[in-house]
Amino acid sequence: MVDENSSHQEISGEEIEDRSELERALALLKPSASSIDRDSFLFLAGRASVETVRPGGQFRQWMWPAATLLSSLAAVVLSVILVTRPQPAAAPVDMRTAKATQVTPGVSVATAEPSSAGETQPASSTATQDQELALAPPSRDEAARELASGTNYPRLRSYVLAYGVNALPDPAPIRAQSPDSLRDEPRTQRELLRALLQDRAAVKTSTHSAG
Amino acid sequence: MSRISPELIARLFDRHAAALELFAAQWIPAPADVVQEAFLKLVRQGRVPDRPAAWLYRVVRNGAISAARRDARRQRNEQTAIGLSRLRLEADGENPLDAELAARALEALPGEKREVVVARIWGGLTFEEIAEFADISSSEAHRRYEAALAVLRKSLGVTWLTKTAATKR
Repeated sequence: MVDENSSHQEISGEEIEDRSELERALALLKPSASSIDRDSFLFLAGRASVETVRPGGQFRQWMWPAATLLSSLAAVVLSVILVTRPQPAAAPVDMRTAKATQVTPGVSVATAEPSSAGETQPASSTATQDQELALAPPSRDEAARELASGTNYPRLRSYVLAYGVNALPDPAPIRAQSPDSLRDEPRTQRELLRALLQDRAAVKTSTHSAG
Repeated sequence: MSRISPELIARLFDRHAAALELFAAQWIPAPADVVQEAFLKLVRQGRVPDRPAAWLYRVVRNGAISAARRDARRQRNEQTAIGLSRLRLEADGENPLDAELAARALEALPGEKREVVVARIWGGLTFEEIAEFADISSSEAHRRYEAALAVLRKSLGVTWLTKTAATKR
């Protein structure tokens, strides 16, 4: 038993010695020289170290992706706003409903402007009718005023589309109240007094000349 | 962690580049790119890791395994160089071991044992450092190393004995 143990110890000792010798022999073998060119590697390393230190590197890296993301977001938000925004009041009237309401220009204008024509709406008007009225083309007076002032073209167009060109009012009386005629009238007290004095002077000269 | 200096990079390169190529050659036939990329990664990192050698071995190991997976299909189609060892070792005149035979014996080892032997003998890493990159305990690294040496001793047995006998004479 003792012999066995000692022989085992001898073997393991021999083995250890063998192993260390093998280790030493293996360490004496050298790996083949590196195929990387040392100079070019050090050049690349120098360049890489400068790249990491360069200021604003992170900013430059993320600048374009961030700009793209922001512009895309803006486009999406604007699209949503465009789709979901309420319809404007002066939107063009649907031609089918306009034709249905158009019988004759005079009659249709009368129904469209109850206050001017002195008529009242029927009591059985529903919410849909109210909505139609809200979107209805302008009344004759409004159209005449807009025609005279030359503003609010879309509303005037909806009027023409609804009632036809013949339904447009005569522009002559409107021109009498046009801003051009109003421009001649005095606006301030001083101008009013001056106009009165001028009138009085004119009357005096006419009476003198007559006398 | 301190900042990386050019001197440190040059020193690490001189000390470990060849051994790292031998280490990466276990997985890929052309390991230079992976090794160079590992060094450049260290430079870009800007800070020296606690154990630079272990860090380099870990990066090279991961890079080589990834490259091997990537090129697996291509390698299957290529004609493999039969009879030529991928691990290149060179012997000086006094060494009792034949370099080519030792390289073949090394290649015959299982991968997990071979990487420990290469990192320990030619990389000069401690068992703690080996344990770090191989994700094992240091005792497991030691156990693998001992087992690998035992296998190598058996596989190189005849050559080993004859060469040592000749040297002793």
